[in-house]
Amino acid sequence: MDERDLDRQLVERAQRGDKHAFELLVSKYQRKLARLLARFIRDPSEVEDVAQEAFIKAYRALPSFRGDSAFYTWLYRIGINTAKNYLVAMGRRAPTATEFNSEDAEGFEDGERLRDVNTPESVLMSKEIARTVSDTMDQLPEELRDAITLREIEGLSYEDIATIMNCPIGTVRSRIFRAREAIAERLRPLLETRKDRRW
Amino acid sequence: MKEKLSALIDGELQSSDCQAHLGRLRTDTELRRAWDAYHLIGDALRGHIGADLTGRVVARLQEEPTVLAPQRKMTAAGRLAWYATSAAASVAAVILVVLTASSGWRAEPQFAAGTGTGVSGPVIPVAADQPAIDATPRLIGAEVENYLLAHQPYSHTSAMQGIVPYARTVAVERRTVRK
Repeated sequence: MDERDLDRQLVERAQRGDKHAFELLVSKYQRKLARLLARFIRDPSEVEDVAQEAFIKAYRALPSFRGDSAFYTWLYRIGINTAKNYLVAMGRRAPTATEFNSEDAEGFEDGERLRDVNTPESVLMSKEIARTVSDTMDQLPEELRDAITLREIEGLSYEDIATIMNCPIGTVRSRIFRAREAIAERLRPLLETRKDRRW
Repeated sequence: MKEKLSALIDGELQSSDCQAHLGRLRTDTELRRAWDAYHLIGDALRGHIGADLTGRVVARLQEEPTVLAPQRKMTAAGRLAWYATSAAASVAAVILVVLTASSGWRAEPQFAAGTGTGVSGPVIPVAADQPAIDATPRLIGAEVENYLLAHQPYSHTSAMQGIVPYARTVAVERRTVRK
């Protein structure tokens, strides 16, 4: 089962009335969507509003999602349309079809430094999170750092990582988990103080 | 448990475990925190840091009526398999109907074990104007016919056949008269 299958299962659960399943998708894609919208909406607070609206529209439109495309491709289109409508309503220029097309959605990774989508209130928190993650990565044993880097940054499968690191797949799975847990443990005090936490 | 969640997020968990784990995410707060944290870590490593919108979206979702969509349609491969099976079944049904309806097809008579088709005795020719009422096999010897006639009242099928025993008797008698 790959990531697309996981998304499909979450969508099917949401379509059967499980709102928690849709919340998991929001948690997964919120920053990716906000980063996309920040490419043509300058104000960070507006980006947050449009991203939020896009998720709500996506939730309402779930019955029409047939799974022909990946969930993020579908969400991407909704995000772009929401942003266009927002900019038109505000009397600003909306992006043209050639500026963004859905084919970009799957591999949306641009090298240039994008605008910071944080509101002023959350800039400090975001920087603190980034610094904590970076510091913890530096302190991780090399095999854990390599495993999570190959997975999260290079996007490799466990099988490919096992080949590169010359170890069993089970070891890769364990190393990635241990790396995540080590970083999450360091992030925990920060995350528990966030104002916008829901737990 | 969290190690499985980590693999689930990477799309590396067995499908059989996936549903159970997604079910646990509904109720297990600790697992849910780990889900959020692991995705935040991945985004941070890729340089995608931003405000956490989940709380705001969840608050809005509470005001939304619950979505209840019809069951998901079959995948393209599933539809293709369904159409192929339907077409094959239809063709098979048509072939069966054509074969059974054609004049050249006739069901083989069923004989009890031991008698088979190798019943000894002369073959009784059947006249062209013979009524179609004679439903007995044509390759029955005279001795067998006599035996059947003599024992017909004891046959377990007599009560079920209604007029057939009588019809058979008449037919044999007519044949006997012709002889």
